[in-house]
Amino acid sequence: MKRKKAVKIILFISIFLILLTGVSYIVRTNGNAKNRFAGFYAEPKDSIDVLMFGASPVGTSFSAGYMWGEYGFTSYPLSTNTQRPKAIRYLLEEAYKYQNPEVVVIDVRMFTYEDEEMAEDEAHIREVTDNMRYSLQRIKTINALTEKMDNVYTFYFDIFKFHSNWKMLFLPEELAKFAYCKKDLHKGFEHPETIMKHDTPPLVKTNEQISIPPEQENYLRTLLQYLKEQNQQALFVVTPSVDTKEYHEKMNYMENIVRSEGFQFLNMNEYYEEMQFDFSTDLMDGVHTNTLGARKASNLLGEYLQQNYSLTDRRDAKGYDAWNESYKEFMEIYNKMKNVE
Amino acid sequence: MGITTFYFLCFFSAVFILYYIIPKRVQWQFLLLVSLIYFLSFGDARMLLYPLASIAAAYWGAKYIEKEKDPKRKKRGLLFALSCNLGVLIVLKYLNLFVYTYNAIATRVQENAQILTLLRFLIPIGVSFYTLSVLSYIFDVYYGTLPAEKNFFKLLLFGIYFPLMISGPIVRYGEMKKSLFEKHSFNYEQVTRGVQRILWGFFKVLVISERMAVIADTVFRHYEQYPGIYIIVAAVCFSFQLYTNFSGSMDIVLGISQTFGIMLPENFKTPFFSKNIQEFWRRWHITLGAWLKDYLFYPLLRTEFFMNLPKKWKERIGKKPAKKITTFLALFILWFCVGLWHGGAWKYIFGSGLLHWFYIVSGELLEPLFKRIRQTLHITDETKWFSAFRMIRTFCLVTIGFLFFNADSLSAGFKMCGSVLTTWNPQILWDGSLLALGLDWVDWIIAILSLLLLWAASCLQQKKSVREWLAERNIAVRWLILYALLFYVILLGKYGPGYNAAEFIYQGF
Repeated sequence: MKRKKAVKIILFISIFLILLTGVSYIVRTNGNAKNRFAGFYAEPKDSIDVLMFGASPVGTSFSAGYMWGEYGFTSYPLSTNTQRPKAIRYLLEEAYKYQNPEVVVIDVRMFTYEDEEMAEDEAHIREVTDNMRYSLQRIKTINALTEKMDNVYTFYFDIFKFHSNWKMLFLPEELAKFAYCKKDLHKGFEHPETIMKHDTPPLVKTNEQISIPPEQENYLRTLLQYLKEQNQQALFVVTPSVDTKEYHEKMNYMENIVRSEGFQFLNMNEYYEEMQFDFSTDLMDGVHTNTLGARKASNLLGEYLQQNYSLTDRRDAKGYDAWNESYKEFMEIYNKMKNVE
Repeated sequence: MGITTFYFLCFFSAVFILYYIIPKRVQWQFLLLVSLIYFLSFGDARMLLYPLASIAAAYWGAKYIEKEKDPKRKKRGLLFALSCNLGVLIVLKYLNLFVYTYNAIATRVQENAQILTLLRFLIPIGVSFYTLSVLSYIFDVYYGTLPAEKNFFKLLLFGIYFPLMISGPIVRYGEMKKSLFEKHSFNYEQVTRGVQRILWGFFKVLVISERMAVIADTVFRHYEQYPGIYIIVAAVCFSFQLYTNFSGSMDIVLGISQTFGIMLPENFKTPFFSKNIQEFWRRWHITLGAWLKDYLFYPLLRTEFFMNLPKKWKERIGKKPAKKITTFLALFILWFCVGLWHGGAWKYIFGSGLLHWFYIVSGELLEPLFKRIRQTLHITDETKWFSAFRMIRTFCLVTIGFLFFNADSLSAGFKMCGSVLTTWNPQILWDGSLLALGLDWVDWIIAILSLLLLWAASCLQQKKSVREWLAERNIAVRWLILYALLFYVILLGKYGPGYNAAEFIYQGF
C-alpha cells in the first residue's frame, strides 16, 4: 500500500514536471532567438559542420541555408543580441552536447564593449539563458551570467517571468516547441529586409592597435585556451559594418591575440572590394547587413571556410532536404528584395 | 517572506521534507526552530522581543494564577499577564489612534493648537493574531479550563508557529496542543489534502484577489476621479479581493499545517452565502468572532454593571426593552472592539465595527415590521428568491463596511458613499470605461470565470467537502482536475518580477 502511494506521488510529480517544462518552453517570448535555438535542438546529433557564436550581426550576416546551397557544408548560428563574450564558452559547452563541429566561428564585436554594462543588461542575458533547454549546463550558464541580477530564481525557473505569455499556448507555432525542439526553415538566419543607405566609407588601413577592455581580453584568452583544450578549430570574424579607425584598431589588437594562439582571424571590413559590398543597399543599419549584404558576407565566410578547413561537401548526400529548402527560401527572399531594390 | 513567494515555497518544501526525516520526538522543537527563522526572515531581529515578552508574561502569569489559591492574587496574576500583552498591542497599534484623534479635535477647537507627533514603531508580524491567541491561553488558565503549560518553549511555539504568523487564524492552546506536540508520521491523505488546499489558496490569492486588487486600488486611491458606479464596481471588487485574499491565505496556512499533521480551526465558511449580518459573522473570520464572544462579550454580560442594568431600567421602560438595551450596549462594546482589532483608525472602528452593530441593532428593532411584510406577501424563509435576495442584501451591507475598511480614511469613505448617491453614470458599465481601470477584457473574463469557479466550489462546499468530492473521483479525473488547477494558477496567477503583488491585507494586523 505504502509503495503504491509512493509510486503515485512520484508519478504525479513527474508528470507535473514534464508538463511544467513544456509549458515553460512554450510561453518563453517568441521571436528569432527562440526559433533559432529551438531549431538548433531539432538538428540531428552531430550533423552540423560549423557552429557560429556571437552577437546579432551573426544572425543577420551569415545564412546557413545559403552557405549550404553554395558550399555544401552545414552550419548553424547560436547567436543572440548583444551576446556577452563570457556566454560563448557556456553556449559552446551546451552545443557540444548535441554537435561535434569541425569549426566554430566567433564574432568578436562584443569583445570591444565593457562587460560591466553588459552584466546589467537583463534582457540580453535572458536571451541566452531563456533559450537554453533545462539542464545542468543551463544552471552553470545562469550562475556565470547573473552576478548582477536580482531575483535570480526567475532565471532558473523562467515560468516566473513568462507565465503571463499564456496566450502562446494557443499559437500552433509555439505549441510545437513543447520540447524546445522545432526545425527552423531559416536555420537561424533572420532575413532582414530593411535597407539603410550609407556613403561608402574609406577602406581603413592601419596596423595600429587599441586594447579592448581588460575583462574582455581575459574572456578572450580563456576562450582561446578552452578551444585549444577541446582541440577545436576556430575562426574569429568581424562582420561587415561601417568601419572606423578606432574600431579597426581594436580588431587588430584582437587579431594579434587570436593569431598568436594559432587561430584564424577574418576581418570582413578589409574585404569591402572583394565582396563588392554596396553600402547603399547592403546594410540595415550601421552594423547589421540585410539579406542582400548577408549573401556577400556568407559568400566570403563560406569560401574562407571551404578553403581553410576540411569541410565535406554533402550536397549530393541524402537526408538534407530541409537544407535545400532553406537555401531555396533564402534565394526567394533575396531575389524578391533584389527586384524591389 | 510572504507565503505566496518563491522563497516561502522553497522554505516550506525544505521544512516539510526535514519534518518527516528527523526523529519524531524532536518534531515540535524543529517547528519552533523554523518558526523563529521564519520570524527573523521579516528583517529586524529586535521584533522577536515582542512575542518573547508577551509569551514570557503569559507563561509566568499563568503559572502564578494556577499556583495561587487566593482569588485576589489570581486576579492580580491575570492583570499582570493581560496588561503585558495588551500593553504591547495598545502601544504598537493604538497609540497613534489617540494621537491622531487628539490632533483632529485640537485643530478643530483651536487653529494653532499644538499637534502631537505620530509615533513610529517596528510592528512585529501577526501581532494582533498571536496576542489574542496568547490571551486566550491566559484566560483559559484563569478560568480553570486549562492547566498552565510547564514548558516555556511549547508555549513559545504555540505563539509563533510559523504558518499562523501572517494572518492567523486565532487559535486556542487547549485545541492545539495535542496535535502540535504529538508525533506525526507521514500520512498520505493528510499531506495530499493539505497540498490541495494550498493550491486552492493560491488560486484564490493569485488569480482572483490580485486581479480584483487592480480595480479596487485604482478607484479607491483616486476616488475623486471615479465617481458613482465606479465606486460601486470597485467596492464589489474589493469585497471579492478581501475575501479571496484572506480566505485564500487561510487555505494556504491550514493546508501547510495539515501537511504537518497539525489541524487548525477553520476561519471561513462561505460567508457570502449568509442571509443576515449575524450569520455573516459566524462564517467570516470565525476565530475572531468566537474569541471575542468567549473572552469579551460573555464575560462582559457577567459583570456586575451589565447584570444590574436590566434591573435598574426594568421599571422605567419595561423588562424586555431593558434587557434589549443591555444587550445592545454590550454589543456596542463588542463591535467597537471588533473594529479596533482591525486597526487603529476610525475607518476600521466604523466600517468593520460600529456599522455592523448598527445593522444588527436596526435589524432586531425592525424585525417585527419585516415579519409583518413577509406575512402579508406570503414569503417564507424557504422561498428561494427570497433567500437569494437576503444573500445579496447581506453582501451589499458588508460591502459598505468593506468600503470604509479600504478607504483612505473615514471621511474619504463617507465622500465615496456620497459620490454613489449623487452621481448616476451607469454607461460606464458598457462603454468600455471599466477597461481603463487596469484590467483588459481578457483579465476581466479570467476574473469572472474564476469567481464563477469559486462560486461553484462554494455551492458544492454547502453540501460536502470539495476535497472529499475530489477524493471520490477516479484517479484520471482527479489528476486532470488537479493539473488543470495547477496550470490555471501558474499561468493566470499574477506574480513574479515586474508585478507588485498586493500584500496580504490581514498581514499587518
